[in-house]
Amino acid sequence: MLFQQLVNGLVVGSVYALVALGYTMIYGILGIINFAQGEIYMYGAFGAVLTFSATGELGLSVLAGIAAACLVGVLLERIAFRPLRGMHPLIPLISAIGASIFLSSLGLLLFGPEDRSFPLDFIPESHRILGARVTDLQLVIAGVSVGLMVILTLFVNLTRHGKAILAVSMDSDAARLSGINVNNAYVITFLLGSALSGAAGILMAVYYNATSPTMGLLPGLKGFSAAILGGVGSIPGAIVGGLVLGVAENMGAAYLSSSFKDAFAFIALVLVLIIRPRGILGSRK
Amino acid sequence: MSVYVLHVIILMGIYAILSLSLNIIVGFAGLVSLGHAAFFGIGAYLSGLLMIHGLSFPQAFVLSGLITSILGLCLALPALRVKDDYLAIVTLGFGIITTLVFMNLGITGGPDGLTGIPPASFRGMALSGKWSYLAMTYGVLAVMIISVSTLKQSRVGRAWAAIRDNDVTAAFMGINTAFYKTVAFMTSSFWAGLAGSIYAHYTAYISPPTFGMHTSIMILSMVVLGGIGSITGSLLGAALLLLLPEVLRPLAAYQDVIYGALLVALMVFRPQGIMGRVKITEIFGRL
Amino acid sequence: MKKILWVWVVCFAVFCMGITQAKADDIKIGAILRLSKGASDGLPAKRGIEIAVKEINAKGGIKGKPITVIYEDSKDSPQEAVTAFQKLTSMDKVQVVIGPMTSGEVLAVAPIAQNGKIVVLTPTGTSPKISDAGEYIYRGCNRIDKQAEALTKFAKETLKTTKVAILYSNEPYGKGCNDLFTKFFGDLGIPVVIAESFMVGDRDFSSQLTKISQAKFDLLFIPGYLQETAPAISQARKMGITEQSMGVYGDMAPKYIELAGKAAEGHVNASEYNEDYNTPTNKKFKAEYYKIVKSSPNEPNNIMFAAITYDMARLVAKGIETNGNTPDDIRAYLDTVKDFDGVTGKLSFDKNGDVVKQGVYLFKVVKGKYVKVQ
Repeated sequence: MLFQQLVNGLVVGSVYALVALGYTMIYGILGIINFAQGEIYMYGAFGAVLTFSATGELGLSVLAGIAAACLVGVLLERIAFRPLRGMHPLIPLISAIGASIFLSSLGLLLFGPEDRSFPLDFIPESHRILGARVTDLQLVIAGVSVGLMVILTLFVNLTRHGKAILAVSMDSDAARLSGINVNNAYVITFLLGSALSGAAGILMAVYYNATSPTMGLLPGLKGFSAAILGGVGSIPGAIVGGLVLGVAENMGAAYLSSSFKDAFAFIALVLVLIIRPRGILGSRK
Repeated sequence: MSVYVLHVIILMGIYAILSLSLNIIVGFAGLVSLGHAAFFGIGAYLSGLLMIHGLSFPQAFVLSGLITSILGLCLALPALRVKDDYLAIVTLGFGIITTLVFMNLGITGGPDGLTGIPPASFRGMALSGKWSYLAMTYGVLAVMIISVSTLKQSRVGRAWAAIRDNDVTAAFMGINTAFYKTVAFMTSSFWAGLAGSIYAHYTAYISPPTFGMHTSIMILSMVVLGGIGSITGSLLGAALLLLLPEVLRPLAAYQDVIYGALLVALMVFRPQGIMGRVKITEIFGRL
Repeated sequence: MKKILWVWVVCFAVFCMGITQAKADDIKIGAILRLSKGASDGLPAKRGIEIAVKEINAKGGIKGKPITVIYEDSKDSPQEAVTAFQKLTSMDKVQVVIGPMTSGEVLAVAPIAQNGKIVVLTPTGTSPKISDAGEYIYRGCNRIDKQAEALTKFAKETLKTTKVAILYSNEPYGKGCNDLFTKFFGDLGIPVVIAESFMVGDRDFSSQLTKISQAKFDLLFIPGYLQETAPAISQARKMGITEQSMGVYGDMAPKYIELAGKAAEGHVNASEYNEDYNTPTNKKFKAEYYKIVKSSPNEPNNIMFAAITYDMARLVAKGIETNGNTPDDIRAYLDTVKDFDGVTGKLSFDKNGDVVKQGVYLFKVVKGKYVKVQ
């Protein structure tokens, strides 16, 4: 059973990691906690679900979902964050909270309160690996998550735009002076972060067969905890944080108490912040 | 006057106490707290349980304030070690964990909540009727306003202002920042606990959802709307944010959308709130 | 100067609250439903009332006066339900309220209703505590212990259950079910070998189900709201848990089958309503309800909740028509009505204000459709 819980934890954890990456990139470069990240995740899921119900094309739906997430992210940056650059962190924090409330309530008005299913017509095969049951779906999710993380890491380290983002996150003034278009870097960061969260939302919509306007709240908070846990601002940190969180949650629920499952994410978070505030892989700022 | 209107005015008073208490942490000392409703809840449950187990109202009332303030101390300890954004997270986590504790502990009634809370009473005479609760709530509020503004102008208040401006510099100048931050948390949670006590005995029934993140954010919004650091601002913020849903009852479905948009607009166009001083940097110093 | 201005704004706002809607000669009924959070139950419930009122008003209303229903949203919060109740009774001066929907909300409103002598009919509050909430509080559905009795007996006699695993929703409804059903199963000699819980909003039950799969049982009981119970059973099946499943009346909805998919097959649950109940009233109601569903496909669809509130609204209207529009008049009617022609059955109320009908319906999902088994 231990291994089964581990496997379950890793699958969910890899999705948390995707959301955590969104947080960490935005925090790393803009210094703000985007409380509305969970809502971007949700709009990504809805983009995909609605497109799929209308067309039945999986590939198109995924693209639509990611596009929807990116659109929301970019608008968010422009309206709720850009005017607040340079202010005390409490200000954009509240703005983000307001945006989160706005976006999820808007979702409720637009889509109605009910969960929607993602009517994919395949029955997942399951395999036994070391005594644990792993379904095809779980493998796909883990695989896609890992794939996206790899792409992101490559992008950030190898492409011009990626390196620009890194530069801005280290020192925006110096970056500007060396000719980097800082505004573009911000927008690209938001695009990437939103795309990842949107993808996470789509994966979860399929995995749990449930999409609803409030689905982003809990994953948002957990992705956020994962980012802090791993060391906010660090991309590998977000990945580690997400996986650790997923596993900790499942183990805690299995061996301690299932009623407190959601609490474990936050307990782990608070503990880390007390013992090692920079997180597992974070650097001393 | 209609029972309904009185009811809302009483709630306004209770939330004014909450909002002002949060303002102590956020506005005076410049710290972030996203889990304030937890103290509200702790005070409410404590007071309710104490009275159910035989204590008199004055005893329960005072004890709930004091015990909540000790728990405020418990939050302050980890909070001292982290800054700004991380502090937001720790307090958020504290709030969520507290809600889960309320939900799962048998003694608090679990998810069913706590029923049969006795009404407030003095010397055996129980308070009934809205007017007596109104008097009590606003009486406590008045005492609070006087004590808080005295505190603000005292040495403690000046220390807070220095910490809010720039806590590294404040420490450098010889101010014991850890001590004053702790005092801020304890004072704030004391009053929040009292508010909880009044609430529990007024409504006679409390349940975990009332003290969750949604409420914490609402209290923070009241502080921000009214003006960070402004006493009248907190009162105004509480009044407005409680009245708005009532006045907008016909638009109930759109309430949250409006609320969210309002918060964003407030931050973009007037972050200092209604009563706040014009330059936000005057309040928070330089980054 | 600025401060004085704001004081005036606040006073004005308070004053605005005091303004009631235009007083017509209508008969006003209040309703407190879960219209935002929990709208999947609340909106169908609203529909039920609307259908009833439309029908009655089409026939000229009550003694010539039309009925107006004033709906308030409880936002799934006992605190909000109380404020809504205060508003309905002191501003709109209603004499009777249909709702609130959850036991927590009802228990919060009850003392105030009793003090103010206003009749409250909850269509869906299942807690046994509501029976003792007072003589002005009525309930339109079976108490949860009646459901427990029916389901556990069925489990023992028909399903031949010997051991039970419970996965419950950790909020008043699910937790109440867990406690109650454990007792009822125990009284029948069926032990509960493992009980795990989840929170509302959770969609991942893998850790709880993995633990459960380690135990030996022949019935998996999942009480809660369908948004969680449906994915729960779906994940259970995917995990290889093949034992018989059972749920409470929250699972009685097309949405449950949609979200659970093939995993719903064979599931047994309780219900307050049977669509095939063969009376002219029910046939008419069904037709009207499904007409509305067709025209608003995006709205939550749950005929059971609509059926209950449909009956509640008609009972209230009949009470006002027979006796008069005061709470005591309505109470007099409710306390004495016998065999009322409801779509949920032949209705009357017992001395605690709980509805008495033919008992609890039990349904099983067969080939993707609900089939009555009791």
